[in-house]
Amino acid sequence: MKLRVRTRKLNRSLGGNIVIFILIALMSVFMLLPMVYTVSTAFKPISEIYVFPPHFFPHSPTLENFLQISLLFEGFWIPMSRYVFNTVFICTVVTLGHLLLSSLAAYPLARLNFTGRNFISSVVRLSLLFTTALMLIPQYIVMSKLQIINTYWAFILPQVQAALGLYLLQNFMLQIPEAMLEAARVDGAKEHQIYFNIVMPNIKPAWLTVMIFAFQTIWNSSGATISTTLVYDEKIKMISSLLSQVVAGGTARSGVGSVMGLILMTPPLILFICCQNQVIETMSTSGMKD
Amino acid sequence: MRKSAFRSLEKQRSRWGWIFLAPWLLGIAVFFLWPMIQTGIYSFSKLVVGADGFEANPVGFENYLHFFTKDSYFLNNLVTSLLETIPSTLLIITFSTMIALVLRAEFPMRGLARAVFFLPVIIASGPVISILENQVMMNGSVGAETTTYLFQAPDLTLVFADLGVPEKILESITSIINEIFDLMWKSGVQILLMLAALNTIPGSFYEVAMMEGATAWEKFWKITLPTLSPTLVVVIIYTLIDGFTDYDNLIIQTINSYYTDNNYAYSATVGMIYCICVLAVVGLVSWIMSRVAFYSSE
Repeated sequence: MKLRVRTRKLNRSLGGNIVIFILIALMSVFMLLPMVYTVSTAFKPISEIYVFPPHFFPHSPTLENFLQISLLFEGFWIPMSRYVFNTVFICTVVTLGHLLLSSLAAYPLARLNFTGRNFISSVVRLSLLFTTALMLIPQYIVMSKLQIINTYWAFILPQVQAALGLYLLQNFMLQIPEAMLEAARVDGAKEHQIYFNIVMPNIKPAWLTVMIFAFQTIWNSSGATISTTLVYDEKIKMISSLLSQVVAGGTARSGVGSVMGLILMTPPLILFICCQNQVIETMSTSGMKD
Repeated sequence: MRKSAFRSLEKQRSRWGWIFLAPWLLGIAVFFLWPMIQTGIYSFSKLVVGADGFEANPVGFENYLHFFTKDSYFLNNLVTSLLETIPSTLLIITFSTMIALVLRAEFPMRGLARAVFFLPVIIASGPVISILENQVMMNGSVGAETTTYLFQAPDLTLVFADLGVPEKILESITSIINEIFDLMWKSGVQILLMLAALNTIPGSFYEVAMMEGATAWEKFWKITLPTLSPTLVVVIIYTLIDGFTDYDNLIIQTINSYYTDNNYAYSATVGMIYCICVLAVVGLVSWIMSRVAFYSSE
């Protein structure tokens, strides 16, 4: 036990530690700048937003933008609660559905031998390469034939089977030692038991990562083509599409826009912070004891 | 006797395989394969808007003929995008590996540091970036291509000047930072993948190395890099694809411009040809990488 604790420290000298810490701190500053700038703009009064040269920190901070948002929310046709429900529903279904479907499909592609496996794997890679703009018209035709245009399914179905998650999971599953799966098979485990009890727990960092991606994609997708062409009923749209509409309001709304930006950034960030703790925890449990 | 039992076991496994795959296959067939085939058909036709929506009139190889005889930009653009994507991929890989190694170590506020490096992924792909563009750059153009110009904007230098930083120092710093910043913003996903991969390396490997008296340098080259190599393959391919399909990419811009000009059939043609080109590059890279990579399951 003592040994493990010492290896985790990764023997580095104090000087090296300081250098690395300063480097990370410097980089973090630059990563954070846009965010900090958004926050500072959110507190700027309208008269200060377009001042030239721009101020980094507001000279006379105000809560005006936040108040304006609540005014805006009161004037909507559709109650805010409806948007919240849509968002929670769509994001949950997409994230969990994507995770389940792609991990289920990734397991046989990575670890089971059957005819057609190579062909399907190359389809996965091909679909990663194809430009989305080209698919728009055919996809629209498919969806209208399935009669899912302007329903929740138009958000959900194309996202659930996105190939990126499958590709990542497949590659992480390749790294599980064969002996581990063999041991389970010798003990009489069925394939579905192997999937649930051995494969998935072992690649937890990977599927948490995939989950973050899936959430991130669906959360941001609503500003794009989906919410204009595939879904036009305001009743089934998500909060993020509402927020991007507010942002599109122009110059007079730019302070409000920054507040919206803050709201938009928060959920993916919270999810990320929660998940990355989990990713660390699995560190010591993975691997074989032999 | 034993052989037949073995065969039935194989059969059982492949049956499970198909059961696991079925839901996903259905989805990919409907939302990818069919549309892709349709795009392929469009590339051989002329699209006219008729009474019942689009009508595809077959024109044979006309679009392709036009492409190979009249379209002189494509080859130049392809070379340019290759020359941009490949070096930047190498840099992004090196950078994200380094950052992931650092972020794996224990230090105060590690969680926060990890979140900070993931921020670009959250910001760059959403409506948030258009807000930032509106305000930091004040040009109102929306699109991923402007993301990295965020810090090349002259306005931002002025923002720093407001903080009291001397102008001379600012200039030299910003020119260096522009390059680094470009990389950092594109490395968020890669860093996360590398971290996930680093966390699947069994601690016992390092234990053994420590007892044998290996230095940190040796540990990196003999343990970390080989065990990381399968993920490196994935990350390299991801980065390549990301670069080739980015809105920034010249050819993607060309395809999109044909598309918005209602020249859909021709954009399908260029798209198909580009897809084949990218496939060739990615195929070559993954073939080379899979020779080098080390898979523990083999």
